[in-house]
Amino acid sequence: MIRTVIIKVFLIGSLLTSCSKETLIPDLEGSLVGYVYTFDEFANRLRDRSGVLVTAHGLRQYTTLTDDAGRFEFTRLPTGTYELHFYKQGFGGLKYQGVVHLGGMPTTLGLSYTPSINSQAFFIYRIPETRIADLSVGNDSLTATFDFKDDQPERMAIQVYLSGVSGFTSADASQTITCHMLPDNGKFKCKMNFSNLSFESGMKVWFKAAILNRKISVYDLDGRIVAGIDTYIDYTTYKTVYPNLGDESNQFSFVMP
Amino acid sequence: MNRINFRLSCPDLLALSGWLAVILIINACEEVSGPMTVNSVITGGAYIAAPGTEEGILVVAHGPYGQGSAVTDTYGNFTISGLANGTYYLEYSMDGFGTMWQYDIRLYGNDTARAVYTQLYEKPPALKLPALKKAFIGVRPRNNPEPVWICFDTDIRRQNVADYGLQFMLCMSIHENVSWDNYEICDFTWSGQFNWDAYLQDDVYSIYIDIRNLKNAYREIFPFPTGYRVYVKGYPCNKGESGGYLDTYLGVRQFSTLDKTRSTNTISFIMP
Repeated sequence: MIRTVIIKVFLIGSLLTSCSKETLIPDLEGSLVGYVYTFDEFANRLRDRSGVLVTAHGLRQYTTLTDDAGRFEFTRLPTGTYELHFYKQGFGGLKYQGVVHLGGMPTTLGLSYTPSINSQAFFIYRIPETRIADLSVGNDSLTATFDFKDDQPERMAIQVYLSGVSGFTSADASQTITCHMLPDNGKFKCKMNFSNLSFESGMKVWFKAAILNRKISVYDLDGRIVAGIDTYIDYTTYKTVYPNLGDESNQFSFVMP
Repeated sequence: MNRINFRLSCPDLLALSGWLAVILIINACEEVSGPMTVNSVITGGAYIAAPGTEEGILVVAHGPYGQGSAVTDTYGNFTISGLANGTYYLEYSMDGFGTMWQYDIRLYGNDTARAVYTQLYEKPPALKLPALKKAFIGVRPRNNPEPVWICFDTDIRRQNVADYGLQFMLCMSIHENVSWDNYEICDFTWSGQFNWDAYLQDDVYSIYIDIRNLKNAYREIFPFPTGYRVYVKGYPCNKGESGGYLDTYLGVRQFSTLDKTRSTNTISFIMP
């Protein structure tokens, strides 16, 4: 009798504690495809787009490489939200957050089906080897001298950090501007609009700069515009990261006109 | 039948209950791989360039658990319902028109995704293709003649023009074996006109490409430096489909009406 009761209790308990309904497993997987363009430090497009290591960070990590055309494909990637990391020796590393991959048929990143909507792709640049030798401000323009490793490019862009305090770091600059510079008698120049600067007239302003050449878009895929994804937000600092930002120059100064 | 025979003793009943419970537990705990939801919808629109109705374009949604389909109504609209969660691609087709594929339609469940409005193009007629007879850099005969055009004479005369299909694209390459699969530029920006040929005593159809337009369209990636020999071959394709569409999975431009099985002869010129 006791044995019967034990068995009954066991059976009822088993039934109660067992699953009450079938459990659906989100087991979809599928391809995730995207495209990478590579550039030299002056943002000139490179033909070789192969060998960029792409890592998908989800619950697990998955890696793949780009082919000659910059195309990468993760095959049989499980459903999930991923952060993509792009790495190639000598290039600035790029991140791309919040890639939602449902699985099933391919998830295709960036390229637009119709010609009327611009496509997007991931742009990575070589880290600058060029150094900023000198900076000066005068006559409504900013002049820079560079030490180029190779041929002088047709244009240069620099990120300029300004502060009223000597010895400042770029992180605590009171103002940051971008200068697009053209060659001028062996140096490079850009217009300086002092009215956009938030310093009082007569004040000594300290500044330094870093090379930051970027490409907004390229023409590819038979004449279509492909816009670049080349920065990301660092969510620990909530600041935009420019992966190919060069080293900071020495500090220079000018008096605000 | 004697009902008494169905009576079971208490131990038998217990054993039977036990087995039943085990079966129930096994079944109840089964993990089923399948869609989380089956109530998503894809809507969209498709139309054709030719005059007439937009009705009757077949749209098939290929998804992780099978496919659904719909036919466009008189306004070109379609709705495919009862779809499971996951990523889909759409296939648009109609007799006599090129088939197009649109990727990356995402269904999260309990939702409606809107597909990009899509135009289908009529396939080019299966007529003769012109022979490209002579290529040269020259002046296009006009009221205001403009130099530096790429010119091709053809074997089409005004009297036999009806025999020829003039819907084709020109693929160009620095490689002699230029083809649809091996080109630097495939382009529709040619235009044609009849010019009087004194020797033939007839109007002869010539094809012209404006080099400035070509260079402007391809800007930084124009692949034919001055002095390079460029090889040209034509393929039947609806000229209206000038930009084609991007196969976002393969990362290449596609033409739904391109007939890869037929082509003109290959001809070459030196880029000025």
